[in-house]
Amino acid sequence: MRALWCALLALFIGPAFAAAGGPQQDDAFVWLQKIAAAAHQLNYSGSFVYQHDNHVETFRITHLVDEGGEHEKLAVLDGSPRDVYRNNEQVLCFLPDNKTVIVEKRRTRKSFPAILPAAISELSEYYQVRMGGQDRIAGHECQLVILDPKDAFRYGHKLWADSKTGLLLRASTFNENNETVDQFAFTQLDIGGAINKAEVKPQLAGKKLIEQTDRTGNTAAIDAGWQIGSPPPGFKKTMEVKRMLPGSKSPVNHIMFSDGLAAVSIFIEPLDGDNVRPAQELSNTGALHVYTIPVGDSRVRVLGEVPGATVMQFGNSVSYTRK
Amino acid sequence: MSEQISGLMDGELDENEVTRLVACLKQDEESQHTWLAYHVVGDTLRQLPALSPEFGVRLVQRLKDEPVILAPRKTAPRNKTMVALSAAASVAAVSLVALVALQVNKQSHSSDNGVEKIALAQNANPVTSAKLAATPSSPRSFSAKDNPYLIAHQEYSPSTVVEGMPSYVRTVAEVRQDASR
Repeated sequence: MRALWCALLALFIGPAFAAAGGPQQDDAFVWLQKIAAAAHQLNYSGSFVYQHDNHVETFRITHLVDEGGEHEKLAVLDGSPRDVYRNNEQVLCFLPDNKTVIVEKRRTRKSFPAILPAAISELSEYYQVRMGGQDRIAGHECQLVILDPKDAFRYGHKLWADSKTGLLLRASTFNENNETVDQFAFTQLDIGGAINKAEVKPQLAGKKLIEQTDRTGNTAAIDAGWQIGSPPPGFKKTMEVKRMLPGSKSPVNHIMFSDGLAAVSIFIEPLDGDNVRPAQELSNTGALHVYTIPVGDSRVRVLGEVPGATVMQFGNSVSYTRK
Repeated sequence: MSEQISGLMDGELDENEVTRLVACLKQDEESQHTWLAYHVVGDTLRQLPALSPEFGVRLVQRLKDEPVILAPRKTAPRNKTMVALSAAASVAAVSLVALVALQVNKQSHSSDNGVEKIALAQNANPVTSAKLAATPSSPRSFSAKDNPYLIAHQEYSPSTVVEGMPSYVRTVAEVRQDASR
C-alpha cells in the first residue's frame, strides 16, 4: 500500500518538477549566461583544435578587451594561412590567397550578453538544458552544461566552461543518434593575461578589401514578399535585410530564423540571365549545412548550424507572393 | 571553356559534364595548357614546392620500368581505397590528378544521393520529413563561393554570442578543404 502511495506521489510530483525545470535547469541557464559573457568580456589567448568530418585543424585565438571594445584574431595554423579579425562589429576575413579580405560590417550594434537571457525561456521549449559533470581541459577545471534537443530539427550541444571564469574550453555538437558532428577544444589557454594590441591588428597594406554590409539599419522592417511556408518547429523569424555580397550584382535578401540558439539564414537572389539554373544541392562542414535550390527566377541558399533536413525544409518551403 | 576547367578543379561539375570535359581535355591542347596553368597558379597560391624540370617525363619512364604484378588481390572495398590513396600519395604528379578525380567522383555520388532524398522530402509531410530526409552521409564540402554568405550568417547567429570567435572555425575550416583539393 505504501509503495503504491509512493508511486502515485511520484507520478504527480515528477511532472510538476519537470515542468518547472527544477534547480538543475536554473543552474544550467546561469552557466549559459556566464559562458556568453566570458567569451566577450575576458582577455585570453590560446590554441585549440577543431575536429569535423574526419579532419582536425589547429587554431590560435587572441581576444582583447579595452576601452575601445572587443578586438580578436582567429588564425588557422595548418595549411594555407587564413585569419579572421574582429574589431567590435567589424569582421575581416582573409581569404587563402592572402590578397583578398572580406569585410563584414554591422550597422546595428549587438549588445553582449543581453541577447541571451531574452532567449532563455524560448530555449527550454526546444532543448532540455541540464548540468553535466566536472572535468579538466587544457589544465583548467571546468563544468559541463548539456543542451539536449527535443526533436531532430536541431543539434545538441555539450559545453565545457572554465569553473572560475565561465570561458568556453570545449564544445561539441551532437546529432539525434548522439554522434558527435563537430567539436573544438582548447589545448593551451591563458586567461586574463596582458595582450599586445599589435597581435589583434590586421595588416591590410596591399590587400584588396571587399566590403559587404546590410543596406538597411532597421532589421525588421523589410518585407520583400518572400514567404517561408512551413519553417521547422521552434524557428522564428528574427530579421530580414537586403545586403550586397561580393559577386552578386543585385542586393540579396537575407532572412534569418532562430530557435534561440541555432540560427538559419536564407539568402535569396535573382538568377543572372547567363547563369545555369542551379541544381538542388546540400553541402556541409561539421554542423554547418548549406542547401541551394532554385525557386522561380531566384536562387535560394539556406545555411545554418542545423541538420541537413532542417535547411532542406526551409529551402523547400520558400515561395514568393507579389505585393 | 576555362570556366568549366576551373569548375572541374573545384569539383563543381556533375558526372556528365566531367566525362565530356575530360574527353575534350584529352584532345584539345589549348585546354590542357589551361588545366596546367590553373594548377600552377593554385600551387603557387598555396606555396607548394615546385617539382623538378622534366618530372612528368621521368615519372612516366619509371612507371614503365615498374614490374607488373599479376597476383590476385583481395578486393574488399575499404582496402581498395586505401591502396588507391597510398599509391597516389607516393607519386606526387599523378596524385594531383588522381585526387581531383577521386573528389569529383565522391562528390557527384553524394550529390546524387542528396537529390534523391530531397525529392523524398518534398513529397513528404513537412512535419515528418526530418526523418525521411536524413542527411546524406557525406554531402560535398563547401566551395569558396559560399564564403561571403557564411560570414554574413555568422555575424547574426546566436551561437556566435554563446561560443564567441571559435564559432567562426566552420567558416574558415571550409576554405581549408577547398584549398587542399
